[in-house]
Amino acid sequence: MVCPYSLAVPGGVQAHVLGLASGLRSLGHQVEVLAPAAANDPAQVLPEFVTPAGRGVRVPYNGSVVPLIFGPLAANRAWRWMHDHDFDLLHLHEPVAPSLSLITLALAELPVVATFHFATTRSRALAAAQGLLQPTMEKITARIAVSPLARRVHVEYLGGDAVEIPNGVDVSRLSGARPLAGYPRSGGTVGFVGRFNEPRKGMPVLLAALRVMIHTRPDLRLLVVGHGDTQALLRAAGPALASRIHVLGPLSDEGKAAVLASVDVLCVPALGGESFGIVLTEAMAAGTPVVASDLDAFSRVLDDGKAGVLVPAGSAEALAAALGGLLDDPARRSALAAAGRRRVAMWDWPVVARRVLQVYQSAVAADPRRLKSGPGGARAR
Amino acid sequence: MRVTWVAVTAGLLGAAVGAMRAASRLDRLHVRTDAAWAALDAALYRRAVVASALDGPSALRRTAHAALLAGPMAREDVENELGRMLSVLDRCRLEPARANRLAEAEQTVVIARRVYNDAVRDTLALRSRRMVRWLRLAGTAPLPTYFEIVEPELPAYGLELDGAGA
Repeated sequence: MVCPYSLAVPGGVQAHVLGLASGLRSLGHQVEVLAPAAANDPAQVLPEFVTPAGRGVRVPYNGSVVPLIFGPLAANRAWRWMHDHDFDLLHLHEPVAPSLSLITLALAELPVVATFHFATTRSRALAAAQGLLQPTMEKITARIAVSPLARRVHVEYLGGDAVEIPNGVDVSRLSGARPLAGYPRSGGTVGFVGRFNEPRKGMPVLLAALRVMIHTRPDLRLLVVGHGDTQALLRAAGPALASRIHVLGPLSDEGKAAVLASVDVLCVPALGGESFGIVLTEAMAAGTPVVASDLDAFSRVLDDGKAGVLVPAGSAEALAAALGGLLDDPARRSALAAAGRRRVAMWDWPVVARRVLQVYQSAVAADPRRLKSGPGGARAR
Repeated sequence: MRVTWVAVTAGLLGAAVGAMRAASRLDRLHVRTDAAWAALDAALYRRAVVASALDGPSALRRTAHAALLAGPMAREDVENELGRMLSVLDRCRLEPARANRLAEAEQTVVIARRVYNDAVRDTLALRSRRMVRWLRLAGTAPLPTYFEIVEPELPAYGLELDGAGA
């Protein structure tokens, strides 16, 4: 399995690669991961199945700065890695990113499964690069998209269809997380996870809802996890609310799990542009009730509101009512937590890994080398 | 004069290299399409075998048998009919183990069809290029065709796949 982005930086694709690799290994399969990472970095302990391919270079790509790796050195490492291990199948992630996955694909002589993660629709660069990439892309045997949106972007811009398999979530790690010291506390704690300065994530709606709620709840607190400008957030909150907001910044997976275990309710007020909502599944795995806006992706994950509360996107009043209702009703909270735990079982990595395995089997079944050597190997020419 | 000759020679050489690369790409694509067809063929065959062993209506068993024997021309129609019959089949009345086997076989057909049609799409894209057509780089290989059947409605999430491990 090849990850294009450096493991030194937290990210969705990196977490996906490591989660899927662990899930497949727990099913008894042999999995090796090649990823950009420094070989002897004391600050970062790599899982034993990861082969580091060198430090990544930070490059602005696809709207954000991502650590990529390329050049002859990376190509040499990728080639050696493939020859050291006699793989049956290669699984590349995000092969259109100009990085390790693309290099490995160019060198590959075996069945290739590719997973497409991004769901951005402004891919003019991608459409332009298509002609150049086509000969390399032709080597992909089977494709996976992590969301309906990612699949649609893939069909429209790259041509070709993909099997849809959602992101997985590490249920056992999240459900066993311990809360932060001093939590859970009385008075009500609401959680927010994500890039809080991005208007799309809906923080202004949550702030407006909380401004109403603090009149009747003097001890209400908001825990915020994620990247962003804390000062700007506190200014936007206003003097009355600012003292109740605790910004914890970007946290490790363990830190995030601890926060999810600490809050009474997780609020996901995003206004649009969400393709899946991995944080919803993480909260469900942690047993934290969720209040989310009624985006298509979210209502699918929350089983149309059976595994969490859905409110109209952008409505501060509805959000305040839903949050207040849940904070006042511990029995409903535990009922929602139980429903969430049942729902999230289908995104547990071992379960998702089984579905990926089916694609692997289909890709291996379509391996040309079987045609030449296998029984009935007459090529229909 | 000399410069012109050099330019012409370089141009011809470039065209020859391009044609050779296109030819080798095309060969690889034809092999990929053939292999993907073999996999799809096997997946369809397995679905028909599983369906023919069900204790469902006799029309279903007849169609499944017909699918096992169908020639290349009638294949799409028969497989479509089988797919339609399976879509109205009441799964709750099947033995759980058999229902699982059937769901798994259907899912494999879906994936194998995408893999095959992807290969066909890439092959057709290259074969439609002018250079490939004029130089007849495809030789005598027949033009591959998409395999068009209605996809069964599968639950997007939470598909029961126990025992699907390799």
